[in-house]
Amino acid sequence: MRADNPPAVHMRNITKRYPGGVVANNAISLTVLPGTAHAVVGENGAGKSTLMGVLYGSVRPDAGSIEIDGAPVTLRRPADAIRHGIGLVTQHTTMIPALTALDNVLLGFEPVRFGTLDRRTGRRRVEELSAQAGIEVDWLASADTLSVAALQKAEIVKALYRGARVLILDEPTATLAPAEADRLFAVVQGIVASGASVLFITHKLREVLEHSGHVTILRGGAKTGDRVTSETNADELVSLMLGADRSAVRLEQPQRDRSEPSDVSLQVRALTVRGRGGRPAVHSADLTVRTGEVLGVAGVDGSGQRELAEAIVGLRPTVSGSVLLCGEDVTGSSVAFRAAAGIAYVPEDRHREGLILDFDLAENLLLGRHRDASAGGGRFLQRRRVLADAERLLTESGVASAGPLSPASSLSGGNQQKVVVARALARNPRALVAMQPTRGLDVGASAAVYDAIRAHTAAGMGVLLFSLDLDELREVSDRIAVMYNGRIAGVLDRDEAGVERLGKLMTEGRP
Amino acid sequence: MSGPELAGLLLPLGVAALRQATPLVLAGLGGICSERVGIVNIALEGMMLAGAFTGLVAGRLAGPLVGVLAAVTVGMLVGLTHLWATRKLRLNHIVSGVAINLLALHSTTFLLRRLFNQADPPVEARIESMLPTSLFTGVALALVLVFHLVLYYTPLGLRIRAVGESEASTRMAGVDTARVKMLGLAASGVLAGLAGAYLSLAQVGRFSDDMVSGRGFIALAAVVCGRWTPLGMAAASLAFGALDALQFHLQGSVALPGELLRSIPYIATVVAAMALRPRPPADLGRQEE
Repeated sequence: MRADNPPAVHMRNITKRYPGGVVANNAISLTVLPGTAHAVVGENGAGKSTLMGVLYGSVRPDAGSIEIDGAPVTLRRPADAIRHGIGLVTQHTTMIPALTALDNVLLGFEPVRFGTLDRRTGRRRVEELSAQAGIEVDWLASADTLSVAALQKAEIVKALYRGARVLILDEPTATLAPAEADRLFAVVQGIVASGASVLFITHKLREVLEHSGHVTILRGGAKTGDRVTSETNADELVSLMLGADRSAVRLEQPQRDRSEPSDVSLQVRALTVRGRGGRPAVHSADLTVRTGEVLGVAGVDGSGQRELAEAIVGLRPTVSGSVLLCGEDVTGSSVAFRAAAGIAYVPEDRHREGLILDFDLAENLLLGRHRDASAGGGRFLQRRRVLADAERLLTESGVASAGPLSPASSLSGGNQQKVVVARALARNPRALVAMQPTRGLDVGASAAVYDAIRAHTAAGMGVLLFSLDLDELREVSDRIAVMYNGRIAGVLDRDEAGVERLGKLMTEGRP
Repeated sequence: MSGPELAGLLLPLGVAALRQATPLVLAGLGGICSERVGIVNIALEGMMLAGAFTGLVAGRLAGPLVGVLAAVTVGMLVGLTHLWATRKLRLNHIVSGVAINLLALHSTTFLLRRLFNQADPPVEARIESMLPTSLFTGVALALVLVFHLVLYYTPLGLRIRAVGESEASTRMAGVDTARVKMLGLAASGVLAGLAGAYLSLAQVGRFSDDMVSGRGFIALAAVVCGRWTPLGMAAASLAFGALDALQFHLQGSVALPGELLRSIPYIATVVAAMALRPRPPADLGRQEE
């Protein structure tokens, strides 16, 4: 870089704390050179989207400064960022379904002729830009008739139409088929060749290695590295992303006699499930969880974990295949039936799916168990029993709270998660499906969650544990299955599941 | 029936229909301005009432044209109050609308007695110099065309429609959505105030308690039946006006109870709203995060 050629973007020590104390960005600095494709990688919750929101003016940072082309700028709202040549293509489309693709692109920057919206001029300009970028979209079609891929291309043109010199793509391939993803990166290369910069967020290492010139790695809200892509490799990126060198508290695993064939707790046979938008998200998955066993499931985020978990607990319909609990086929059964039969669930997002934050703890602990004897067992809830039951569960699981009548929102994240887990285990389930049960928790709270789960595995419960944290999986699982693109790429015994081996299965789908 | 005879029957019916439809069209345009930027507006009723009262009071003091000006000013203030309550105080749109309607009803009732010192019902205030209804009708029909053009053929119209569909996406596109909403609610109040002025200054030449008597809600129903479009809303308003004129004409000549006849336009409105099942703007009524 020459001295007279300042970076396209220079973010310095960006810090963003959300209400509730989550530090999404902790003094992160990022430099993007003009005419480059720059990847930002990290797992869920690493702070990538927040950082990009700060650059687009849609998230207000608590500290830090931004320079664009060497000049300091203040970005209070997206309009400011657009004026400075920043364009953002979000993960979920911002194209308004009721408007045409063309109107969506022109919105806010409309060409005017005699006071009216000059669609003809606008269309000519939009078609010119899309031809340059190698993009074809039916501009007069209503946005709700366009495919996800077409919407994304239209969004890129929308950013270019606003004069973007730095184009941010937030997980651009998350919802694209592989061939569409290749076409997208061809467009990206064309934009870069024209002298503009592209910043793309991803957690797919293959995309980083193949399509970026530079890469910045985030983990848990902090930057763990900046690399020139040609000077790094998948192993280094995996360890920077997942923190394989992290020293964590070791969780003792009870020794079991492995030669003894134990019974099957939960079994999934050739299960195929559709995801968002009707695309297959899980392809013919086979898994067997034995009684008293923890089967971990690794995989980069979005490999079909959520869909698989939801299909097992009954929240998502299956296309084909079956789910068996202790040999009994529960495939077509309702969530309530499966829960009563003994499948418990700890969902991924405790705020949205795990708890009703405005309800008190007794009510939250009651959810799904409202017909049990502990609630009265009849047509009416017996307040006294509900409270006594809640009191008991809170004490047993060591939740620090002001009692069963305090709202769930008053608890810390760790204590909230203890409540979710306590409710899941309250019915002594025969199988537990847990999605990232320690996400965002500190070491002490994580240990408490696993202590509670372990007490039940000792009594024969099987656990299917989904996590993005390889260290955690290797600590608590007996075996680890790896998902890749909706398939089970392999199942490894805990002794043979090294980070390198798992990382390769996760990113390439083969050992 | 001969030609002149038929014309002799239809002409007064048509005129009556237009007279009934005019306040609905004006207030309906106000409803579109508000709901197209995402704010549910059942406060049209209260805005009309405030406009009708202010128009009459100012009209008596300084002439009917000044009365109209005062009516639209007060309407605009009430419209902006509705925006402030829903956006800054984060009040539910319906709750704010009900509050405004109650406030308008009781403050006009109170002020009517105070200003005109008439304690015994029926209480009303009169004005001698009235404006021609045809003036308002002409303005209303012209505004329908203007609003159609603005909504679909100008940058402002595109922004208004976009805000009502998704304020978040519109902001991400670089639009100052707060400004668009303010404009929408100000226009909404102006139009509802104008509709109120029509009632007191042109149609009847007086103000009496609760004289809007549900026209604000009927205007909103016309907005819904007309799928939140100016042309559709105007058509729905005219249909309502025609039914109302017809039922009035039939009073006495048909062997049906008057109450039943009078309810026909309202029943038709409910049936139409249910049968059309129109799709509202996607962000209508959403409280911002």
